[in-house]
Amino acid sequence: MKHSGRSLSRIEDRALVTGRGRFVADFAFPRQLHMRIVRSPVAFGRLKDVDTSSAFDVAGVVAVWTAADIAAIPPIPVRGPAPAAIASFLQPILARDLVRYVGEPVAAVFAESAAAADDAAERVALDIAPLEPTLDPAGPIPNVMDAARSNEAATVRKAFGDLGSAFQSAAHVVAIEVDLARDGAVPAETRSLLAQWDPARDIVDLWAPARSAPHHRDTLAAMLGLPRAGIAVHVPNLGGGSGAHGEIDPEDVLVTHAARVLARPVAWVEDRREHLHAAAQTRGMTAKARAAVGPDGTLLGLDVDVMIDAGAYVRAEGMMVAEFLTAMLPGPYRFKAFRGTAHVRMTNRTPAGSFRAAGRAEATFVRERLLDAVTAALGADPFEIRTRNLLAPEDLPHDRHLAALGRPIVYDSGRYQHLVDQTMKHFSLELLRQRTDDRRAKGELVGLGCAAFVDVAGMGEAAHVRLSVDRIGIVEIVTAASDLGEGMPTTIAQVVADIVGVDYDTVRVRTGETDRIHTVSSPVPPSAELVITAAQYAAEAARELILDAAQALLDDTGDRLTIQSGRIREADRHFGVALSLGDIAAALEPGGLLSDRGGRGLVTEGSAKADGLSFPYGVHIVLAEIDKQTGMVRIPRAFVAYDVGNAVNPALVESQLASGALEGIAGALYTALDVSGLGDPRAINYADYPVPTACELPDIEVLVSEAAPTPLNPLGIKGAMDGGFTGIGAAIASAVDAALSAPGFVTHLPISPARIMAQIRARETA
Amino acid sequence: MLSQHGDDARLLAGGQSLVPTMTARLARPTVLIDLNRIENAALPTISAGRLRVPPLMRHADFERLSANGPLSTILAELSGHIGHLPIRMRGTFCGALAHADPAAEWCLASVVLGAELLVRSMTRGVRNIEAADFFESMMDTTLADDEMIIEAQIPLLPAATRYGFSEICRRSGDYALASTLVVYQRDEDEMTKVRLGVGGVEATPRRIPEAEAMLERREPTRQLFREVADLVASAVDPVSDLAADADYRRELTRAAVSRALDRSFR
Ligand SMILES: Cc1cc2nc3c(=O)[nH]c(=O)nc-3n(C[C@H](O)[C@H](O)[C@H](O)COP(=O)(O)OP(=O)(O)OC[C@H]3O[C@@H](n4cnc5c(N)ncnc54)[C@H](O)[C@@H]3O)c2cc1C
Repeated sequence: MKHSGRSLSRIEDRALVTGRGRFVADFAFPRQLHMRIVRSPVAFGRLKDVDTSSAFDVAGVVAVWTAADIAAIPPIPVRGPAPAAIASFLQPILARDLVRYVGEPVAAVFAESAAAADDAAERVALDIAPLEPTLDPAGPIPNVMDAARSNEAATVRKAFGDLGSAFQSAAHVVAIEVDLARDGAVPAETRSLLAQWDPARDIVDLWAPARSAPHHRDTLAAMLGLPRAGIAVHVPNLGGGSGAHGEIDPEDVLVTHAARVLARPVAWVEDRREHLHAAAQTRGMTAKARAAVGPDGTLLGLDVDVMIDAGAYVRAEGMMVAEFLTAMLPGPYRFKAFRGTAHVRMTNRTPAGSFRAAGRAEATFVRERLLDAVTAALGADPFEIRTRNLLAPEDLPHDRHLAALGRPIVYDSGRYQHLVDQTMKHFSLELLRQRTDDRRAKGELVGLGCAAFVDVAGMGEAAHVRLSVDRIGIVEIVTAASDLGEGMPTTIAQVVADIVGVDYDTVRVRTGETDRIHTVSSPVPPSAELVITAAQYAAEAARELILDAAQALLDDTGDRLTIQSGRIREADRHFGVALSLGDIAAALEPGGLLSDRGGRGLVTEGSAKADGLSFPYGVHIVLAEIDKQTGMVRIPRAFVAYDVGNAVNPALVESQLASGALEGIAGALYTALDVSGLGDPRAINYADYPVPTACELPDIEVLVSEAAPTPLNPLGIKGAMDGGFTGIGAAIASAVDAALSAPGFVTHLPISPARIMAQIRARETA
Repeated sequence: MLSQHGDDARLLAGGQSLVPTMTARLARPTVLIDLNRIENAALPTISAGRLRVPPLMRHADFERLSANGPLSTILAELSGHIGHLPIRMRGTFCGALAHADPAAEWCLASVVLGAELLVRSMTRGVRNIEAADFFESMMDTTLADDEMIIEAQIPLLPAATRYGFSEICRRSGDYALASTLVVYQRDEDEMTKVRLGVGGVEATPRRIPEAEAMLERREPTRQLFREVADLVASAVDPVSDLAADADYRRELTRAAVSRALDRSFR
């Protein structure tokens, strides 16, 4: 029975749904120490003194470190390309002379228990002379208070075509200003780490929610002056992610270093309050955008200038958000001239990282808001304007003449209009549109909104997989790539099962282990597609090896052998088992009949190298209902249509898209990580950070399309991790405008019900 | 023990407010007095026309009050709005009053329904306090450091009682941004003995006498309800916080009052 293309249940769920998943905080070692970070309570200030003496009054305190204790450790480096001048914007592991955001690590306490560490941390006295914080990313340059560095860490510029003539020849020029609040992924599992040093082997074992285990290992090794072989990274189950954990943060460095220096295991589990202000945040930006439009609504040019709130330091993601934000601004549309500029601005806020649909969600929000403004300016139909400007099938592959992080933006495949048509038909959207218009005509505040977008997948340079079969015929796949919870192990098992000829739920997939397979790291973690492709190659090699060996063992020269459910038999004979996979494996091992074939057993490897980025695409349509008495928005229906090229497991793709859409609704209507005028975080718990629940959220209606497989990998797979998120904020903004019959009303996410209420009142009195 | 340890000690009932505050290290009692092992403190009784709520009666216990009648119906409905099931299984009525969150359902209910609290200290004995006099300001009551609420008494309601409750929040289970409870008797076509209060709007829940007067001995109509909602919205002095500023809370008050009144008329 073929596995690929079917919605099989996840092999990894056996443990997870029975409560037996193991997360970092579930591991513990005897004699382990607990780390607590002392964090800056002010957004900006001169750090005059750190007095740790009274921390030692607490029983069980073993060590307290300040910057002086780890002076030899360099700041956290950027992964991937970044301008050389970035050095002065990198974060020291512990603050030295200045503290630059609320939550910046200043000291680390190590104690026998978590409670003792907490108590002692409170007694570390920080003498800080507060300075005026910079909180507005669009504020003036230079920042006189922070003379050591500019307000703008980098400027990313992308362009094609002749912008001047596009705007000169335009019949209409439409301009908007929009912004996004800061938000974060805020996963169920906060950041947590556990490190143990084994002096006998001289290896630090680190359990971490690392996005890329090899990269974690290599970066930590380089920072701490250790050989690569001196660190082994293990990534157990992850409780969500979406970008909030898994980068090299100060805590990762501290825990790894402390395990060696203190010669005790060291554990750190972040609390929720800490997570909400000290873990990476993102999305904060303000944008000015202009479109040049022909008389009939044809787009001629796009000019966008964005201020990105990168926070107090440039963290590991470096220029990633700025690069993808600017490079993906053009979206699925055809036009002649483009300019996108992103200013990577420093503020006294938590350093920015990345989050689902990094850069692309921001780009989509700006572009689709602009298209809505064009629609309003021309008195046109929002679907019509988009349709008119979509790239046609014959335009693809389409070279955008842009690059992101040095990688060319060439849309590999896509049938954009086809997806729009399919979506309208599949969900009977014409009817819904009609009904929504009728309801609005009767006075209800309801509206439909849409957004179209192109996403990016296939990031990461290389993936490596080893396949082995033991003597009882069990297939094991090992990869250093992390299982981020999106179903990669199951998908790999499905692909491998079909090729090797076993049942998918007997395949064991081991992920996130640097110790079990040699892998060099690449700055960007490999995408699931890349890992699946590597697994496919390993499986194909294994199949060949198995059939060769079987022919030799059976003295069968024909090509009639097949493998089914782990047994090799002649294709045209239904009875009589010839050989099992275990027999073959045993024969290939030393002492076996075929040990002269290398004597390595039944082991193969597969490597895949990225040939370029792939560009999945999608359409989001939402229905918004506004409560006239409270201004609160409800989304009773939300549609996501998305082309993944090839869905190895359609149910997994659907759930990825649905979860992305839910996260997107949360960010558009509920969640933000704002600060006060002094830079103090406003959200410190789940009451202030209102993640919507099943009661507030709709069932997401998903259409998985496979109309445009990518030519970049043999299975034609494009990623689906982000696509549920990318356009939903823009679609909600558009739907709320429509519900209020107020084009251009939404300029900011999340949408404030108080602002909506004020708008309703203002209109009543007008 | 309370009198011995003064404000170093705290009573622990359901722990659903106290424990989170301790986790955030905002409360740091050195002595915790666990009430949960007191026997016979979980079951309500009825006497002298009053429902008597003991210190360990949990929110969820109100969902299946054995006594029927309008009071039980009202309390059952309100209890369903408190947090989520695990919170309702643990948190107590008396604990909620002592915690005195202005948006708490039980604080609003005890004010509107005219509850009386029995409060006891080791040295001074028992005193009775009207709920309306109990709440002083946000999270602050007349309870002294050495006092414990040993019972809350709520008058039963006649069979002809009508009521309406509405609570506005962004997520199910949240504390209300504004809430309203209205209770009256239906006498022929008129409303009498009208009691209407709002919670979550000002620093303490309170009845709005102007609104009650406006409804008293009047026939219930949507028009009247709208006018009362407008009146309440202008009569209150809403607090501002992150979730809603004063102007927006005023709007939500209007919505809560008008919905509660509409629901009373079903
Ligand atoms: C996520 C969440 C959501 C919530 N949502 C709501 C909501 O929507 N509405 C709502 O009303 N509440 C809500 N709560 C609070 C919950 O109802 C609490 O249970 C209640 O406020 C306190 O009751 P308790 O028994 O848990 O008291 P505890 O937490 O044990 O104690 C609270 C305070 O009261 C004191 N105390 C307790 N009992 C007595 C007594 N008999 N005499 C004197 N002092 C006493 C304690 O010393 C302490 O100071 C929520 C709580 C959580 C965690």
